[in-house]
Amino acid sequence: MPTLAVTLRDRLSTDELHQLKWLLGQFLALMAMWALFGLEMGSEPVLLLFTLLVAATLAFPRLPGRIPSLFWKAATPTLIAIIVVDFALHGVEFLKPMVRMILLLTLLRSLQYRKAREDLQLVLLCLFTLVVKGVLTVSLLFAFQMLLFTPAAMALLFLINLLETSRERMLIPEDWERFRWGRFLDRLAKGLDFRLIGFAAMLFIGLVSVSSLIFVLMPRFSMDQALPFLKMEGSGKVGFSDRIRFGDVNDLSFDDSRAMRVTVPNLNVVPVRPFWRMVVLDEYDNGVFEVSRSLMENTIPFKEGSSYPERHYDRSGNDPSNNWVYYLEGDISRYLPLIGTYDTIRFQKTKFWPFAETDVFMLEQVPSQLFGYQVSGMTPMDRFAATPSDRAELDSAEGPIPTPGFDEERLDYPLTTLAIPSSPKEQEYLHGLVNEIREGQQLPPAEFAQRAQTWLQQHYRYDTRHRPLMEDGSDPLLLWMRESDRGWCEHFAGSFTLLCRTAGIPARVVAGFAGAYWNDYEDYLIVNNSNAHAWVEIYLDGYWVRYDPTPPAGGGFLPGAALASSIGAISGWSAWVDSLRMVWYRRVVNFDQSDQMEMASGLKDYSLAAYEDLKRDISAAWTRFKVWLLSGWNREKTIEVLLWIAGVCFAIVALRYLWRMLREAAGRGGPWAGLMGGDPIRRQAGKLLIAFRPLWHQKREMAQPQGGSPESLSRWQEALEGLQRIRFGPAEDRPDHRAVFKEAKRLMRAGPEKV
Amino acid sequence: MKQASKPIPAPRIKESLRKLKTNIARVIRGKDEVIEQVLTGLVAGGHILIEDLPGLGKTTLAYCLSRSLDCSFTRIQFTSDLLPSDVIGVSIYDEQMREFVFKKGPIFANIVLADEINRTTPKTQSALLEVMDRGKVSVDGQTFNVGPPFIVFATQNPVDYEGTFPLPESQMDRFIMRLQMGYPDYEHELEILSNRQSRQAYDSLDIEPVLNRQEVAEIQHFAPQVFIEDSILHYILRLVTATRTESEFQNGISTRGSLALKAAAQARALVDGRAFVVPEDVSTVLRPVFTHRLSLRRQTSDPLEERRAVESILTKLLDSVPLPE
Repeated sequence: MPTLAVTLRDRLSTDELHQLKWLLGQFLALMAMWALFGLEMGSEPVLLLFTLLVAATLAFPRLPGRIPSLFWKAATPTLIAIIVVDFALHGVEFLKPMVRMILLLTLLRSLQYRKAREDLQLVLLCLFTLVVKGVLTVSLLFAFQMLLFTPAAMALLFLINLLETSRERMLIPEDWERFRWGRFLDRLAKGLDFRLIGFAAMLFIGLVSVSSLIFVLMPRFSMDQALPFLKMEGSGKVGFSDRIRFGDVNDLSFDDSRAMRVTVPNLNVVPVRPFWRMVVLDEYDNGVFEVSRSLMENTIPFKEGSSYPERHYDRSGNDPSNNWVYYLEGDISRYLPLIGTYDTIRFQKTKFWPFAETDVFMLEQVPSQLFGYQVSGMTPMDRFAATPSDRAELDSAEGPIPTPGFDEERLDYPLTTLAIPSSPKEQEYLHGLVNEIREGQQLPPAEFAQRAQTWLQQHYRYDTRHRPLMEDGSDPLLLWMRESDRGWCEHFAGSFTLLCRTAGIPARVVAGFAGAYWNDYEDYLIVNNSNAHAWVEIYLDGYWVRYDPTPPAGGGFLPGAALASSIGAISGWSAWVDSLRMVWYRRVVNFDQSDQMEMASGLKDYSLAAYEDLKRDISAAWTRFKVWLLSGWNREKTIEVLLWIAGVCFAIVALRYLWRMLREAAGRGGPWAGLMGGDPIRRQAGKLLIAFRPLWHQKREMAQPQGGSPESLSRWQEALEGLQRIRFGPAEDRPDHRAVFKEAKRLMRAGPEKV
Repeated sequence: MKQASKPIPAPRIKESLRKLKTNIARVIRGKDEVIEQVLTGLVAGGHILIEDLPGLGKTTLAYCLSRSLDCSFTRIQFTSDLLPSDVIGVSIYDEQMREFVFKKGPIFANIVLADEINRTTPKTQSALLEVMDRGKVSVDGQTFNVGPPFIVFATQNPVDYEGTFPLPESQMDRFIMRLQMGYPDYEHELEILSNRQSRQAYDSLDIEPVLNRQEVAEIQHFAPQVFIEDSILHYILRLVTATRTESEFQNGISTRGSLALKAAAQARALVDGRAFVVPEDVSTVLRPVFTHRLSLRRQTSDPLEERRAVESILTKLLDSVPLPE
């Protein structure tokens, strides 16, 4: 019969606390191993083995007891030897052998039953691992791991402290022989005081919120002063490429992983078809489009810095408050995607090349981790003004220029944008096509470009694969034009460029991304790797104008995704997870002064608006009430009001009655009692009794010396007995609890002095 | 716990016991607390060990109780040459009946005062303790009942330990509680002194029976039926566990000790006129029930000092284990 009014908890024995401590340590070790997986140290199989070992000891804590003692004798010298050799061989990249050493030590510590000192060592090792991982990757996963690590480590330290006050003791294999997870968890659930856990949770939440607050309020200046993170050399990944090469690949397969995230002031400033320009490829030579050497050399020499004001020639209408923040994933490109012209670009301190001629921005090396940069005055552009010198040179240039041979002097930009293959046969083929497009007329450049685009789309289909072509030593792109009937954006952009050049129109290929997705959860744009695209800019009247000759069926590389080149919205679970990542980058990793200002002003606006709203709502409600009150009172209205009052009263009474029924049912035991957590009347009597007892003692002491007024003392006595009877007596012959509680409360309110 | 079909007449029992108490208190002055504890032992049907210096009224107390109860009373003065048969009785050959006839010893009484129990040999002690435990005497294949009621008041002198046989702990366990009389306070002693009829034999004490044997049996019958709520049982167990984990004690309380605490708490509730146990009942009887069952890990030469140390630790335990809410 559940007459128990309070839940009583078992006490965990010292041995069980020791076991809990050890298991927490194993959990930390496992988490350290997990963290190391993200580091790409090149020893994943070993790491996997280690992780499985630790996981096995966590699942079967008996295992470490089975390790022969010989192992421990050999372990230390072996370990020292391994570490020394590792440092000797790989000492140059200091970080990797060090992480490996930490890994080995962590493994060693997690294969034994530890003393308190060794537990502390393990905590330190795991903390080091996590911090290294955090500094190197700055990933969202790190934040999550830290959130797991902190409470586990706090609990472990607490246990060490707790056990330290009792006798120091190390678990021996026999302690684990009878260990069963099920029983242990059961004991844990019974034995853990949930008040303690609640308190610890409060402490943890407090810790997290205080550190968040400190993080938010810490004085900052701007993004360029963010920490230059340590770099571990990662293996290169296949992704965006800064040259286009024809003839090698017949088949495309692209992943949907994120390439970039962009926060914009609002969705309206984003064009329907955003083209994220990254690199301009002006030179074509034997199947390869790339950046010409002259462009590389003639650009402003590279600088080291953290911001760059663009001195562009046509910048009218740039709104400087138009701040776009780009978060480019690691290992994508050294060229930064940009959507138009801008005032200033800010980034972490690094070496960079700005290309004024082509409006392209290049870093010294491909960032291996997420690279954030903030662009103010970002203005999306369909065309870019050519520099005056380029304009002069191009306006005076005549017709296509054959690409010079190996022994001849190379062409300089901007003349490279007029170069076509030098072999007479190929030139003849190209001129033939141009004449076919012109149909014998002399067309203005814009008209020609339009027709060439139509012609290409009539003769070639979009597909991510084309059949292998027989190489005959001729130009691979022209081979494709002759032999194939399908291809992807690179083919269309390349052949369109050559056709324009043959017709005497300067043209250059642009590589980057087209299209984006809108994430509603955090309001930002997402660009995937599958959005990678190539298009063309041709020179018309002093401007480089964008043309995208690829058929709409394939906006990017992705087949059939017409939406891919315009802005689609993504939603659902993956979008939500992605938005979390964005919050991490935007609000934590790259949190700077402007964000602080934004947050402060947002908070101010919000609270002001909320205050105004509240004021308005209250005054509106008051006005409505006044109107209602003053408007005519007739019989119906009165009856309605009375009915309402009666209804509310009835509802209150009914609820009270129901509550009492429930309580009394619980008092009689049965399923209700379990539902209500024991007998509620008994529980309430217990609570009252706790408050009543001290007052009763006080009253009795006061009554004693004076001989007391026995009448008033007996009232107290009766109340006490009533409460005790309800609390500890049998439920069957219980006095009317309402009367007893009422009397006890009345006495307590009055206090022992008065009554 | 199922209630007996007949409800406990708690107010009536309280009234009877109150009469009994005032009756005894007329003779034993200023020892209300001890008298209440004795009544608790009586109600619980257990045996009581009184340990104190000579001349503090141990015997008088036992005698008053027996007289108030309209019960038979015997007194056995234990000495080192006392034999078990001196306690239990002896079979002697009856010439006329031509058979052995059992002559009942002094143990066949409702209230037995076993004076200075530690003076006698273990053999005699265990004979007494066996009767205490079973409430029966077996001699030559015949079984004789003692009581009911059957209560042994054993006394022990804690100071004079020369030539004694201290009771082993297992036998101490048979007593539900150990009491100490203590000196009376100034006023009460003055009252005793000013009494003109002070030098009196027990027999001439002016005391009338207030309860008969049936009434005592009835009260003892109701005692185990006193309602005890689960949280109180947990409270008892926590106190018991606390003695087991306390490092200063050699051993913790045995399960018989926990049962004794429960029985004593129930009896105490009945003495207070309640048909249910409250936590205060447990804490009031804890010290008399537990002190003689516990011994310190460190050896002390003085039993009084040991008793004080045990009591102070018990007080500490009582403070540390929270009352059921």
